[in-house]
Amino acid sequence: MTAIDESDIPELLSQASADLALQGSVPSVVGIHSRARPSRRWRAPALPWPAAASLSVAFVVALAAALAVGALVFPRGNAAPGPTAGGDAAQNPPCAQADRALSARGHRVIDSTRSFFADGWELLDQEELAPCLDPGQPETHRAQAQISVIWRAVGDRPGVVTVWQTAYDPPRTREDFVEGRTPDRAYGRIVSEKTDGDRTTILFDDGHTNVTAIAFRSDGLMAAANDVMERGVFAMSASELQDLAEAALAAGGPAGGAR
Amino acid sequence: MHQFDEFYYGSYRRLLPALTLLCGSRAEAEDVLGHAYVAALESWNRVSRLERPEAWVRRVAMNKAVDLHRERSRASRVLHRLVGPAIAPEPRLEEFPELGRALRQLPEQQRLVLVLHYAADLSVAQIAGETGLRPGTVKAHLARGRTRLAQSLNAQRTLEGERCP
Repeated sequence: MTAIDESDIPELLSQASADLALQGSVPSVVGIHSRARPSRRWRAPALPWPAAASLSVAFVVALAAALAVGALVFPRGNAAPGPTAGGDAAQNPPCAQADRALSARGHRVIDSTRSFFADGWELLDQEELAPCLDPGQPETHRAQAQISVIWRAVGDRPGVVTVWQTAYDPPRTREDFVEGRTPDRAYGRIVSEKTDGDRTTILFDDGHTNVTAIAFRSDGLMAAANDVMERGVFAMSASELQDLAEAALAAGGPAGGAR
Repeated sequence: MHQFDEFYYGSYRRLLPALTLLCGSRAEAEDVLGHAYVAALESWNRVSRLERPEAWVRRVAMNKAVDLHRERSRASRVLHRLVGPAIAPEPRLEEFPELGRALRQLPEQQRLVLVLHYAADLSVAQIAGETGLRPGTVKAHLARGRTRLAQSLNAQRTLEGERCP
């Protein structure tokens, strides 16, 4: 077999491109039309100025009346923050709960499970993930686990924090989390640790670019928030990260519960 | 026929190959290209007046492809920690699996510049205009990318030769 020289690369890429251009068919443009939103630009019809002025006054009066009625019907204190994520928050009550919990803490949830597992990742739903974690298989964790929800939340700095929630059966212990399955899978050195009743929260730092807060309960539910340094900065402070993990844990168990 | 429809049918086959090489999968390339055409149609009044609407669509699709690649890398890091590396599916370029794997191993900008120059047939100046890189940087990425891609392809061939005596 002859070795490839770097001078062969232009021809190789050009030929691949030409071959690819000949394959397959062009999808119908109808699909593009059906997906496009109607034009967002709307031009008001030109009106003579007295009519425009009277319409403007009527609009302002109507708006003020609507705001006054709204304030009476929906007092401020009762407004619950709604889910901000797309994904399957609407179909997954624990996911929607957690969306609200995270939003209430000021985080903008930009994504949740379904869109996170886009394309090829969709294959990795809970049913298919569980066998990978079966105790009978070598090189896998001794416990069965379900990843129920994964979010990506945005803090006040650039970057994205990934939050996930997992149920283990049997429950994992503090040592399981601290030691990790293998050295490269450990979360890092412990920066802080606190226990509040049934719940323990540990903050780990891998000493390089990963800080992870893990909150877990004795019933096997665990939630984690992971901040990966981007361009030299973390998206969130350590306390925000812990708060996020605890909020995800408090949002409840995964759909279907631990096995 | 609507002006947009003509543009769509006229440019699709020119844009898809380079995107397929960039994404490493025809299906993913079709998705990002569809996304870019939808965006073009939504802003067609503006896009149609541009000197090169095709370049606009390519830019939107390339940005989307890069976003997808970054998202996959991030997801891969999380799942590697949770369940190990073996289960993360990678996109596969069915027609040229060797080339697809080698391209995926290149740094993002080297891959982008190589594909735009040799697959999409853009000049160095055009690539600089579309990516915001300086022409000198584009040339440097081209030179390094060619070397690395050749090395990666040769390494794969050596490995396969060892596996199949």
